[in-house]
Amino acid sequence: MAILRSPGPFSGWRSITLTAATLLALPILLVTFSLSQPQWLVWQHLADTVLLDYVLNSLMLAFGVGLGAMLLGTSLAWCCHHYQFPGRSWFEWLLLLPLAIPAYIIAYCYTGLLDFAGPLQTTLRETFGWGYGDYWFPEIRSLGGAITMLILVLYPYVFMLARNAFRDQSQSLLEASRSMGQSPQQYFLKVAVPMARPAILSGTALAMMEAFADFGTVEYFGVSTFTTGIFRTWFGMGNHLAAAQLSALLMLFVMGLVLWEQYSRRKIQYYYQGHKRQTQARTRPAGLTRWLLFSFCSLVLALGFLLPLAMLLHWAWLTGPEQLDARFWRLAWNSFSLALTAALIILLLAMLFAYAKRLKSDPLINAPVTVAKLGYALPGTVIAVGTMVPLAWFDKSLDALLQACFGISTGLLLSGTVFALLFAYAVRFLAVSLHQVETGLARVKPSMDMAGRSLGLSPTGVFSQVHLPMLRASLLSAVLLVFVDVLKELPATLILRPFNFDTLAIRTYELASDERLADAAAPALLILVAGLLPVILLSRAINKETA
Amino acid sequence: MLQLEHVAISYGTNKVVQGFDLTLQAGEIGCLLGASGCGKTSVLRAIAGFEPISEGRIDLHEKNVSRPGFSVAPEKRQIGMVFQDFALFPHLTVAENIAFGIRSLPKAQQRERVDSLLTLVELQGLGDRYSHALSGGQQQRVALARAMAPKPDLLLLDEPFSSLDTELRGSLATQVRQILKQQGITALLVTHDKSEAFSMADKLGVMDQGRLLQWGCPATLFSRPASLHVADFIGKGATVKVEYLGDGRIAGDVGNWPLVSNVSVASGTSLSLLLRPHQVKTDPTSELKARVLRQIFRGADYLYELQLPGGELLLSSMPLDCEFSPGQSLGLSLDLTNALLFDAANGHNVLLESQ
Repeated sequence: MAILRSPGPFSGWRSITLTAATLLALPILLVTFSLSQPQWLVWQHLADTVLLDYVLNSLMLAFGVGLGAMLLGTSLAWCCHHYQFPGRSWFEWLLLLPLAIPAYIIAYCYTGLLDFAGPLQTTLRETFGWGYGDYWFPEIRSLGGAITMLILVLYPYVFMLARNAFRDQSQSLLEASRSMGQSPQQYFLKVAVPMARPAILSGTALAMMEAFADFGTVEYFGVSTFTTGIFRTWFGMGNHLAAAQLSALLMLFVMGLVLWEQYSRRKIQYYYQGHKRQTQARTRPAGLTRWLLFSFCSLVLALGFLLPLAMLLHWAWLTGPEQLDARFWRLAWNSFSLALTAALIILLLAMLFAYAKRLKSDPLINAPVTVAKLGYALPGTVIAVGTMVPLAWFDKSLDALLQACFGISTGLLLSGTVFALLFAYAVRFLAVSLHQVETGLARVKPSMDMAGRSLGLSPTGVFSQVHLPMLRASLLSAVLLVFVDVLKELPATLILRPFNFDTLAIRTYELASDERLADAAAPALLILVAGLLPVILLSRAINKETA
Repeated sequence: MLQLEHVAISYGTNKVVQGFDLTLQAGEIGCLLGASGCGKTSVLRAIAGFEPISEGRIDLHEKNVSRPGFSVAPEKRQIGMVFQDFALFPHLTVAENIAFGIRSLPKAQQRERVDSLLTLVELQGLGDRYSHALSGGQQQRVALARAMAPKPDLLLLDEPFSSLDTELRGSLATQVRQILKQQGITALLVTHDKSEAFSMADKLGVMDQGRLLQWGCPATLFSRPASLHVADFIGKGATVKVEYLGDGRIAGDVGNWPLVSNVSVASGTSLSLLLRPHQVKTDPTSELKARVLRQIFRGADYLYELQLPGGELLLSSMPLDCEFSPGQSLGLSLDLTNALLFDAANGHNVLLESQ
């Protein structure tokens, strides 16, 4: 396309784009290739001791969360789609709110609520006069506890996709099935769910990816999984190659999910009926059922959002005055400025790649961008390891080179600096930003470029007067989404942060690890509030679609 | 005003347009007609400056704007363009869209020009709307007004009516022609719809596989098409094989007929005779018989698909009182006054321009 001059094979823009894309793909490629140099001794040791635990716990966690999120999300979606009950339209977006809470924060809340010294057990003991060991109470700090916590915040993935899929099913399907003698229940089982299956599976796969990626929850609950194992191998054993290989193994599991998810998503289009749909009329069940439905939705909302929020507010009320000191605000500033910087840098990268693709599809650039986009599916721990390896190598080589030539030591130039963090964030969150930019750019049709030119604009004029105004909303949401994601990110920040550099997420994690849950409430609350922004954005987008 | 000389456009090694010559006088409306993928949109884009040309030259007002390795930027050409999808900017109102190309004028003048254009395209009072709140036909007229606002030397229209429904198309085409003529605008449009082309064009060209087969006024293209392909594209009809016997006579399955005009071929040459539906009439006394295959009711008349004993097909339009059922055999007479004859080997018109 000759609208904005397409770059020649060796033009400056192309080299910049190519270099950026290759660098971003590097961590993932390095982790993958680390498998080619197996560390037999370390593997032997891991296999003898903890490897089986890692594999089994990670798998049980992912499948438990997947199953739970699938059942909970699908049933909630069906309730909100098919039945009319009090508050139904509110629940349609209220039930998305748990997405705002990082899993590790909900884990802290429930630990505070449910453990031995927590309000629930204390009340039980006081009411019945029990002492320690007199009664059985489920242990929240367990694999089962971790699965429950993750289900509570991850079911919205399934809920959202399943509800959209149900909504796309036309009234005539329901009527056709009724006219063939099927009851509404049979319709649900035989038509609605099978038709929504790709969407449900896609949501389930997303929830399972998040479960594989979780670090904060399992670490806090003392459950050994891949992510905690990688962390321990890296810091405890100091074996970076082995950590990379563990990461590669975890990556294989996640890649399986990515393929499965993409396969499901392709099918969604196939199942989608192109014709104009008439939305299904909702069933109005009997009085008691209506209130049962209401209670069900309320219960999930309370467990997934209101209760943890109340717990945090309560703690923040207790500890707020002493927590909100100068240090806290410095922390908040650290977090917000880091997140904003990362969001802006990632936006620039995303625009670079999106425009490169729009002007001229170039396989040499597309390939590394596709690899880098996988970063979003990968656990922060894996990305951190993948980032650290090349940066450390670069630092060491540069140091050695300069030592040999000039006798100066550069020390650690990149690893252990904010650069390393920003780089890892770029790998992890490029896909989020790129998706927004590409969606926005797709709305600017090539003919609009031409219209702008034929009405007297230069290529730069087309960019500033046609593209930018039309992209504004997409660019804004790209920045916002990445901003919040970075704010919530825990494991990569934990591994890569410069010495003594704290963020809200890190502080929350450290305080909670020190059993100072109440003190952790203030930073956690700030993360939660910020996390609400994208959820609101999301529900508004969905409402607009429905309207 | 606009002149294309031997223009070729290539994508890589693939020549999508070649040997393209075209001249458009000031105030004329030209139209390129062709099936999709024939290269007509590429020609339009090259004239607008969005596509480099690999051979030949494009002149505007006797000034060269495109030649191989050289191209005046689109924004410097004073060419307005109306796009198939209208390409209205969704973030601007109708008035802002129309004023987009005249931003450098003082505000008051902009407003005046926008108002007069809104009146011209009969959209008074809709200036504050956004384009998505308009119907397809209204959007089309906004796009036209926007392209006309900077008073371009030449207006290009790329399938301007194809995204509208059929009923709207005809009336809008007439309306747009009226507006262009009233304003004395030189315009070139491309379309694949011949009725659209007929209702718009002063000059018409038929394109096929990157070549301009014929360029002239619509009546000429209809009555004296240069080739069978042009004739086929321009109007319905059926071809039958005949042989030139010499002495102004042809013979074939349709019988032995005298010709009104002279032909340029030697006797014994195989020819294709194109018969339009109105040239085939029923005549009970005729020896030429055909069997009715299908009867199609068209409101004002019937269109019959007929089969000659030798297997060749004919089309015939007949008044509503001529009612025949499939399978029935009927006698036919042919009106060969304006009959078209083409060389069966290369499809060229063989009639001499004698009348």
